[in-house]
Amino acid sequence: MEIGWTPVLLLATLALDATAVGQFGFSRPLVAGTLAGALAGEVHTGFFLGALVELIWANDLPVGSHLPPDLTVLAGAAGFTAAKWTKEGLSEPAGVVFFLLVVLPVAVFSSRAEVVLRHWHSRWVLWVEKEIQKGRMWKFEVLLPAALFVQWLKAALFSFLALWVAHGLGRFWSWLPEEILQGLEYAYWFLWVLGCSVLFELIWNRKNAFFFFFCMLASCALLLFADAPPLIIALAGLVGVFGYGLFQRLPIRSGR
Amino acid sequence: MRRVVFQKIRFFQMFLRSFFLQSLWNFERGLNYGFALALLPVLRAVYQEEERREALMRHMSYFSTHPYLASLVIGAVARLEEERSKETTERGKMRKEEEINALKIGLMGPLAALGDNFFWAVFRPFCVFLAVFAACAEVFPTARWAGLGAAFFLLFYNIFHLFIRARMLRRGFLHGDQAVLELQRYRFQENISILKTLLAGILGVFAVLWNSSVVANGTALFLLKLVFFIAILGLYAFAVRKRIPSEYLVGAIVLFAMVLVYWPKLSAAPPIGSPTGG
Repeated sequence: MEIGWTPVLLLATLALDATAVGQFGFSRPLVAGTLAGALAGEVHTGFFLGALVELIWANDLPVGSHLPPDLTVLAGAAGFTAAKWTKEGLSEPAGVVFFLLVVLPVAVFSSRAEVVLRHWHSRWVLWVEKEIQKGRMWKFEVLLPAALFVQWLKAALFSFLALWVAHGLGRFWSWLPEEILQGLEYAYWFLWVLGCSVLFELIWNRKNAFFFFFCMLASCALLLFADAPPLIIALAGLVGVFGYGLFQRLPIRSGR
Repeated sequence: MRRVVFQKIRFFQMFLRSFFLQSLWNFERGLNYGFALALLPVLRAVYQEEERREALMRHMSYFSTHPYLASLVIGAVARLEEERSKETTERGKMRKEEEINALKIGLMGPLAALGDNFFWAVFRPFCVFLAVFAACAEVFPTARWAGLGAAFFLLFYNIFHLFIRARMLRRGFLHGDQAVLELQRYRFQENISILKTLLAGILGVFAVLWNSSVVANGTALFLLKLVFFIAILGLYAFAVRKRIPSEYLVGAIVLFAMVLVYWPKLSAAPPIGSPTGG
């Protein structure tokens, strides 16, 4: 099984969106995982791996100088290799957890490299200030493509490293005992609960907790007593939830 | 007419350049380079060579805020720089410079707090979860189309955030030093509260859908799984609240799952020291 340069180039370009350019969301794990999965020919695996990464690290915000693990590299590299090996017979939940674990150290290491890069930026900015004072204003704008190129290069390096590690270790999955694979499948379910609990912690207060349980009970009733299919439950849930949100916004409700 | 066209072009250039605000994020001066880069079209238009150089140097001082809401400051400072260029006295120019500095320092902290709380902590997770919810609820026809969830996220998220960025830049430019009043119109705090409530509701429905696959095996099993889900959810939420890094939690969960698988075998093994146990 070959990896090729396409996923490296794709992930490096997507990673620029994280801080350097725009923050349009292309670097988010959901998008990076889905695109990497599509490239490997298994969109479903990539999407759900990206979604899982997105939820688990939803509360790890890049506030101030704090940096979470490089989620683009994590979701992209793990999504690509998980999708590839899923096509070869590995079960999707086991593949997702296995490659998530394998790529995670590289993603943490990549965010440490970002800190080093930011120290370099300090020097470059001081240099460009001196150049402006000397009257060489053109150097101010030349710095931008140069800095973007270095960031792209860094992202490409770590994407390659992550894919290489994941690909190298991925070959051994067929040697793993059945119990380990079953354990990874269990872990997949537990990790989704972790993702939900991260969101739950973000929204936590008494009123929201009550609304959470109310919506859960209403959906249970629809499922058990009306035997409604998932799509109907989801649509009914969305209508109910957004209706409640609209009611909250009404001027009469908030006394405006 | 020509002046208006030039102003619109400058406005568009500033808007595009504001996307590179964090391109040289550094620990000493934050987003100073990106901020100066975004202002450059206006500085070019209103100043001659020497004054432009000085203005650029003034904007290389420390600046750090949320990248989306920074548009408001960029717009307001652009307006104040235009006003400064029209000042004829040194005293008037100095006063405008102080106004610009005060505006930047005064707005960057509150905008950072608002932006982080609204966009990063609530709006983005909300859009992501809506996409995941749609995929899990089988809104898309087949598993192959699950990727549409990512497209839905990009569309929904970008329409709103680009609208806010463009509008903030424009309103900042219109209001100048009164730009802070613009913030009140958006009622960010109120919207954060409403989005969190909506997210809580969707999460409740999701919990049922995620565990609904076992309904065919019996209602009791489904209810048991749901109760187990809620118990684990509460336990994890407690761990997350204790600020245990997610990386450690992921590792601990995988270990726990392995113990779950191997536990029956370990407990069934004969004790060490017994004739068959070695």
